[in-house]
Amino acid sequence: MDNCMNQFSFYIAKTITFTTAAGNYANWTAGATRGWVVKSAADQFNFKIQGFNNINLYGIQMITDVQSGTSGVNHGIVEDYKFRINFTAQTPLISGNFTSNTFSASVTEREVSLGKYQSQILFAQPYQSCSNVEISVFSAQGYDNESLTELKLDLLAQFYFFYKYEGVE
Amino acid sequence: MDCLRSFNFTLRNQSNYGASEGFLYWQINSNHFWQIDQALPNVKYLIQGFKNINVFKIEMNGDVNSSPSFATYEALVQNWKWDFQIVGQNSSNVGILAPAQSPDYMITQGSNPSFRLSKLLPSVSFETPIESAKEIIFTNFYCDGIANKTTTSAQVGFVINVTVFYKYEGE
Repeated sequence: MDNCMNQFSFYIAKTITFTTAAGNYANWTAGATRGWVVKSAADQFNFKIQGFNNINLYGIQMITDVQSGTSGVNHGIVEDYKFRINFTAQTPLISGNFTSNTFSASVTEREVSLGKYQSQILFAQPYQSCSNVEISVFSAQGYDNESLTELKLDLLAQFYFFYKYEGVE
Repeated sequence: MDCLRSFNFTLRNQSNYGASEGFLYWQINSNHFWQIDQALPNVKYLIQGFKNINVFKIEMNGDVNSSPSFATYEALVQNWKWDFQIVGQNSSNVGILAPAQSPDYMITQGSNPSFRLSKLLPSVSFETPIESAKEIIFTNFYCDGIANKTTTSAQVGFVINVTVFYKYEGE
């Protein structure tokens, strides 16, 4: 990282119990395998950036671990997980347009997914005037769930945001 | 690199993929396996403006998975891949090509090179850029996994962020 790059970070340590009753846990049996998925939009983390100068966001790095809880009868093997991160900022743009767009592609969305296999995203041109970052959705999948009605996961995550103050090159 | 810039776009979709959308299923002993291979020119980004761009790197960052809300058609996604093409001039090959051989696996792409990025290999970068890039086209979506709940389809959703690193021609 070049001169004047700064970072801030925050840390999440949380145990979440997902249940079929809450609609955030689903599991099924396919042949000899039990599969499960969870998706939690309720446990959000919203951080508002304050101060005299706005910041330009250059990248995000995440160090995480998600594993089955250690108590109860609601374990499962975690195969993959993702955190969706939204931020309020000006998107770096280039002149152009979609001539064919079956997948609702957009140049103005400000959302990235980081997880087990992709833990970092960096930009050459920053998202400018970033005023807010939000961890909006956590999702995970795996197999061999012990319970059909609930699953408990331990989340441990450290998020690093790389930025410069507006007006600093 | 000096003056290296980037822009982003996000692809988003949720579909129940059946046989007509490239869904394939097989079973070995009691285990279910599946894949989706969808070949369509479904996303094209046309780059416009006074100057052309030279592309130095493309990176994909995303999430392809099933969801508790998908009810009947859940499946575990284990891998995903995107094929894409950059319409532009590729770097020149250096050296002499060997005489034609059989089988000949070597393909040179003088222009409009194609690439495949995936969950485990999400970025490609070039020391010599793809020059005068005019279009970025996503041509094929593939994913596979296990434990599909039904044997005729799988419902998969994705949110993929694409970052394109470039310089303007002449910089």
